[in-house]
Amino acid sequence: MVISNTTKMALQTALAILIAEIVTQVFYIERGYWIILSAMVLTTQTWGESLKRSLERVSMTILGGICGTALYFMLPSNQYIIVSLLLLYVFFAVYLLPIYHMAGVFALTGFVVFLFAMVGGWNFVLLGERIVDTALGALIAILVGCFFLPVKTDISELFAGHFEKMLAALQLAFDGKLHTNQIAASQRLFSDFQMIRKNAMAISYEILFHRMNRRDFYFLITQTAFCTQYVVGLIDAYSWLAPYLTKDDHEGIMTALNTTRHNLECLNMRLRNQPAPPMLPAVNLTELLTKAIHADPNRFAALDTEVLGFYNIIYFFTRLNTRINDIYFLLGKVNYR
Amino acid sequence: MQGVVARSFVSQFFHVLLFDIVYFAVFMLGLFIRNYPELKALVFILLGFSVNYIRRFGLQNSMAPVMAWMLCFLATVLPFNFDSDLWTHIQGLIIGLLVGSVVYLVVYPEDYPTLFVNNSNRLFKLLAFGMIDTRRYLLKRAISQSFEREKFVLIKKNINHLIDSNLAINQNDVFSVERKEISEVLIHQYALVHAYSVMLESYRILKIHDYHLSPALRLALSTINKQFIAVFKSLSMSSDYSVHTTHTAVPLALLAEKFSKDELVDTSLVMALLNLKLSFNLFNQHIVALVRVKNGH
Repeated sequence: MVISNTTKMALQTALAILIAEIVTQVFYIERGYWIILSAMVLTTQTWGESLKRSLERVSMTILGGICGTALYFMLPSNQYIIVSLLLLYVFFAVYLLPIYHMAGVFALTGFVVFLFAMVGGWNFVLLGERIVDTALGALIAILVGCFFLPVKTDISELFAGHFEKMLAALQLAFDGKLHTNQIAASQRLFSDFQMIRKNAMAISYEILFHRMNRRDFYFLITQTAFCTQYVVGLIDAYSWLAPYLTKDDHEGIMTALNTTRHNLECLNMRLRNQPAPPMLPAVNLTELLTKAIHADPNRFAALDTEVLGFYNIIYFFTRLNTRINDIYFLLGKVNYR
Repeated sequence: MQGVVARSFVSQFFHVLLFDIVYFAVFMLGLFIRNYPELKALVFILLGFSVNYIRRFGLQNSMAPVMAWMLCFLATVLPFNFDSDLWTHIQGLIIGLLVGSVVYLVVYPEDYPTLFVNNSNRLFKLLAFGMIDTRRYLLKRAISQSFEREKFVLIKKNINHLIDSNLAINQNDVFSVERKEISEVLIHQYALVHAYSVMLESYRILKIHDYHLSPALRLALSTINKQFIAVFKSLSMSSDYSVHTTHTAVPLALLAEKFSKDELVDTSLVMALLNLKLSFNLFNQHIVALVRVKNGH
């Protein structure tokens, strides 16, 4: 039976709250509600996201709590000052949480300090309890997320899917369909990559104990960003330059497209741990350019885009294949570890 | 009133109403179970499951489910005397929900069509700024700092953010009519951003290989940049999503003339310059297309 991610998350949350309740009851923790609250809010869509948020939550609870407590003791004990600071912290918590989670949690902790100050009082014992209880709640959320119905990102499949989309966009661009469709395909490809980049931080936490280290992961992200940019550039350039290309140019471009298709397919095989044939080197395309320039330098003197559009397109193919080769070798290195 | 995911005003109103009823109900539930520890634990667990399970109904990124659980939770931990202060807290909640609803719907209501127009105009202004800074980069005698730290490179992040925001607005069915035109406008905005990326890539290659362009060529590039600055500054989107400009396409003949005077045999240099010119051509092409979309030429 396949369980959807929202059901998994719902079950994880229920279990995290149950464990938090048991811990609170068994150890008679006076303000155990911090544990329950942290366990609830830190159980998120994926384990990587839970880990990231937990680390941010605990570190910012310590930092925000210390700053808020210092401010509370330094300022005169005046109800208006407390309310003003409370509102200020609320503003920044609401403003920052969706755009910069870490800073948002910092403001939220300050808000808690002044909320307690307003309804009763705040002291160092409360600060210590809040930090310990938040850390306990975070630990519960991390353990539940890791061992009970874990939702982890399949990094290989994520990138393989993106490279498949890249190939599909290239094929659409060069099969002579409508101009707008070509650019729309590049737009979709760009959005897909933006989604990967947006989740990159959370994914990078998931590979803490993976043979691919974080440096390799960010290298992979950077190379994929370049590949996406070159494919988008390629599609945009081709949509404009296609009418100026000769029959020979089209043949050359088809050769480059076939090389790229082969390389992308090899890359996907390696990503999926399947035996992959060797890549075709990008240098073949560079040689083509160099020969043409040396054979007729005057042709390049005016840099007439309409006449030299073929080279623009080949340039993008060259750069794209260079980056694909780089990723292929990186994956080879990672697989041998 | 965080958590509302509706886009149109009417559906936002119904969301607010529905969420208020749910928030009130769970707060009341919290109040009535606060003195029963076992029942309280059971309710937290079941509610925790429910609020995450309902995320599948379009609430993936909404704060509303967590807010509902937290209100129930808050009702169980608030320090007060149940017999004497109960009504005061319920009154406080009702006032809070009412004020929150009115503020959400009246003070800076979320107006996505206007945001789309504002984002588009910001995008044109940022591109103009990028071209201004590129011109400064071209005319500067000595370039000491890293290319990645140049302002015209750094603003790419903001440009991408604006285009992502417009894409999200378009994908959320905000526009009941004119969807086709808006999608087309968005595609040309994307293409402008990519043309900007192609331009940056060309300058990056020139910097990596440490090529020094002749003063005449730099001056020609600077002139073209100046013209693009004027074009981007004059580009503006009206509330009916039509894009206007007072300038025509930037002529690139001068650039070709200056290029032809330099001896070009290095593959990387030729390609960098060819791509630079391509980026200018793409700018021209998509600016013309943007202005045409609504006018229907």
